[in-house]
Amino acid sequence: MAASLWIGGRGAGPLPAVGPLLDPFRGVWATARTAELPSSALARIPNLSAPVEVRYDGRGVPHIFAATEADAVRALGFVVARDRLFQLETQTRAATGRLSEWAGAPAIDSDREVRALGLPRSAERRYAALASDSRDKQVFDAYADGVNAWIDGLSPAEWPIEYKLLGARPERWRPVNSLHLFSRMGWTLAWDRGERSRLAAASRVGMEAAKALFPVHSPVQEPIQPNGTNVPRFDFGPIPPPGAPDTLAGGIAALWPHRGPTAADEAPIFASNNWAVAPERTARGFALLAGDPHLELTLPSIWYEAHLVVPGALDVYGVTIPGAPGIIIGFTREVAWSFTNTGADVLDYYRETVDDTASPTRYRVDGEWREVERVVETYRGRGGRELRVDTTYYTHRGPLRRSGSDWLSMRWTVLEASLHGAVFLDAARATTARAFLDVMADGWGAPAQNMIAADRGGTIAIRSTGHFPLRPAGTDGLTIFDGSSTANDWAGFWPLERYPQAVDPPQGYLASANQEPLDPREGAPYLGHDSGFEAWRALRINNLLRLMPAVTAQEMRRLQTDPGSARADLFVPFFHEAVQTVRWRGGGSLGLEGAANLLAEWDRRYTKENERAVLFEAAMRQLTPRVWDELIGPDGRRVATPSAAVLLQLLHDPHNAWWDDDRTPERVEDRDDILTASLVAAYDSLLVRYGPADRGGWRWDRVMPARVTHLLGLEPFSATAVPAQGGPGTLNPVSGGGFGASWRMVVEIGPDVRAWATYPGGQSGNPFSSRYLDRLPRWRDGELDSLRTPRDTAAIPAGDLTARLSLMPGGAP
Amino acid sequence: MIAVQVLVGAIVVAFGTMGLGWWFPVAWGAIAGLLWPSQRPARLAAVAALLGWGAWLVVLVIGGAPLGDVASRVGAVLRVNGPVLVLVTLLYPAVLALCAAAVTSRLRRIPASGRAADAPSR
Repeated sequence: MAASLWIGGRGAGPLPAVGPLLDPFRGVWATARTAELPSSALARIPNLSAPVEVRYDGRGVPHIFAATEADAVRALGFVVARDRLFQLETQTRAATGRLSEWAGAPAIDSDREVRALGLPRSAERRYAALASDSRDKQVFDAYADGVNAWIDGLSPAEWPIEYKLLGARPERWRPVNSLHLFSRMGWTLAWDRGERSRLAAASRVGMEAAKALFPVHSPVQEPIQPNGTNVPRFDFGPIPPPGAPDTLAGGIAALWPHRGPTAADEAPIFASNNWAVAPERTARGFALLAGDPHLELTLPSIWYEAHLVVPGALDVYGVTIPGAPGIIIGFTREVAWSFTNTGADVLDYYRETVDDTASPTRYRVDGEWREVERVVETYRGRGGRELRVDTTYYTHRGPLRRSGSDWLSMRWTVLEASLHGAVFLDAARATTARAFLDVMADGWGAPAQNMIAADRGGTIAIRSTGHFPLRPAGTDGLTIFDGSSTANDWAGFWPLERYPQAVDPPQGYLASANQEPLDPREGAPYLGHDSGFEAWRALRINNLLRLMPAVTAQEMRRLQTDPGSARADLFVPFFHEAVQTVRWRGGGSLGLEGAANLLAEWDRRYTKENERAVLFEAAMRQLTPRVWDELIGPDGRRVATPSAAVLLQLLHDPHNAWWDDDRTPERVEDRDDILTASLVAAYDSLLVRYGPADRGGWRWDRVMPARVTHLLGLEPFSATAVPAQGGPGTLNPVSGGGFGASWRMVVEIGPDVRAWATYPGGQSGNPFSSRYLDRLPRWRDGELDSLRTPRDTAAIPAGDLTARLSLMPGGAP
Repeated sequence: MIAVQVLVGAIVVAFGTMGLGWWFPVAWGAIAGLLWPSQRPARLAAVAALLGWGAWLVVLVIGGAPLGDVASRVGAVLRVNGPVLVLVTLLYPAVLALCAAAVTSRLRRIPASGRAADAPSR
């Protein structure tokens, strides 16, 4: 009996406490009882000024009708917590370095990294600095009122199943958690890695070659801010051959902190698209806007769809991130908007002179010693057991960390740019695209976003919005600064007029796909460098939009999953040319003929049933290590990998020394040797792995399906093999991984706003709810749902009403 | 009579678990061991506990809860088959009640046998 009780109360090894887990009234079984929202419910929220009515439509979207904005935010917190409570807390713990309290020692490295970067400290300080009567604080507090009202009313039976599996209980929501959320987003989206890559490459092949391999400006680009040329820019100058290792650069690269355990060039690349078409280029004469932010695909989704209505003040529909007190991407009856990430360089390092290299207490600046701020960080495991204690250090610039024998402090916009709590509400009041962008510029500091907007008056506008550092004259942020002088500190941030931006361009459309915002030929100041900016999707969408004189909403939708690829269009001809050359040289083989024939049959589209795309992708994967073998370090791993745009540049120089494979000293290869060798190797590997082509094994959607993973990585709660159209470099680069279009939206902003959208998942975070994964099939097929935007509770047809929720003032705060 | 006892016991376990938690079958078993010393209390307590928890699962099914889905997916998380998870859910309270009833039943018998053994010496 003792053993049964022990396992029941404490669990054993990885097994959670089975007593509360199996309890048929409160345990995992009870999760099934709360899988669906009741058709009618009543709850109380403290500080509510008046009753709030919520109506859930047929897609599980809550339409919130409130008397004041603050009440709408309280209700938003409540409904989000109702559907996504575990996600709220998971995000907060990830952002504050407290996952080890759930997962124990395995999570401690991730927790230490978050705290060493100063993310939770910066959010706490920013919240503490808010005046008690400030609107921002009121918004954060109102959201917390709503979340906590839901948590306080929960019985253990109603806790999300993840808590039961972890043996944990929900924690109350703190208003600062909203800031933690955006700090975490900043870490995900505003972490720059190109600087280290360039230095690491220099350590192998010299700085001259490294600068060409990791250029500030991508050799292929079509900027966000239109340059009037209507064609992409191709700068295919020669790339210097590998030179002598630059040991100094190697030393500096070694100082560069890695982000977590992943090698810098293996970090996932996020992407997003947005574009807007002016009325003169649309079929119905109204502005159209499309947006699909590409992020990690999780279950539940990062997004939650909602509609907030405050008569006379607010009527905004779109998606929020659980924890954010407003709609982040969406539309009103006047303006629609969406974001893509700006790959700006907003992070710099400073080598500090410290008094004690083992445990610094002071650092030297301008000839004087300043105190190092020391913060003791305690990491706890399950049950509150202390796992580890660290001391973290801060200078006036930011976190101070040891890197080799040096100490580097870091300045990063994510740690200091304030997010105005009310920015989403204020932006939703804007009646023009310009006004929307101005409000966002005032309240949004990081992570920098390419914000696109279209309004009912027909204006389309885009602006890369965020805090971009003003560095000392003559510097560009591509090195480690000397920390001993404040002359090396940032002097502020770019003025608004310098932001990349455009309003109603003559071309009649605007598009961003994370590409470089400005054309360097126009004397653009340093904003970031090649590795942060993708080119292929930008080329594709610009090319498609240029050819469409009368765009419809349906066409906008189809473009979001367009299977065409500018990358394939530009690379494939080189493979064909190489095959011809090698045949002429007499170097043909059965394998080469087989591969060449299959590649020639490819239409360069990544459709689900396509059985040739996989060959091209395999060849590209074979090509990379063959070309960049000179960048392999002493440990046998490549120190950095140049972008595909640089590889394309090299393809235009067939006899460049980079083509020679160092592993075959007996001969000198050129481009065509390497291309054909890559193609044959890819063909052979595919035959071994998937069998002969045309027997189903090479289908794109089978080889490279999308994956939507539960927040805890639990496979039974995940969608692990989702057949989807799109591939690397396409507008829907979803294949073969857990990243992709996390939300797709198309809005026609005419006299009556019309909108369509979906995301891969569902509104509910309960894996047993019919709304956990209900949107996945249409997302998979590139379809969108028509969105309802009722002006009041009576405007929802009875047949589309699935649940009612009345929120009344009251309850303990 | 036994059937009635088991049925009452199942109801007690069902509501006791609802009110007090997963460990209630232990309390139930202990009480049953004291109340039914001469009627195989451990087995009766175990069957009642099994039925008590089973009743809640039946209530969930009747209420439309996707119990099969829960069993298969939670089972997969815990690396057991869905039916096994259901079985474990039914057997776990039974084991708790069985053990508790056996203990209290034996404890109750010890003083009695002790008295019987002491009697001749008096």
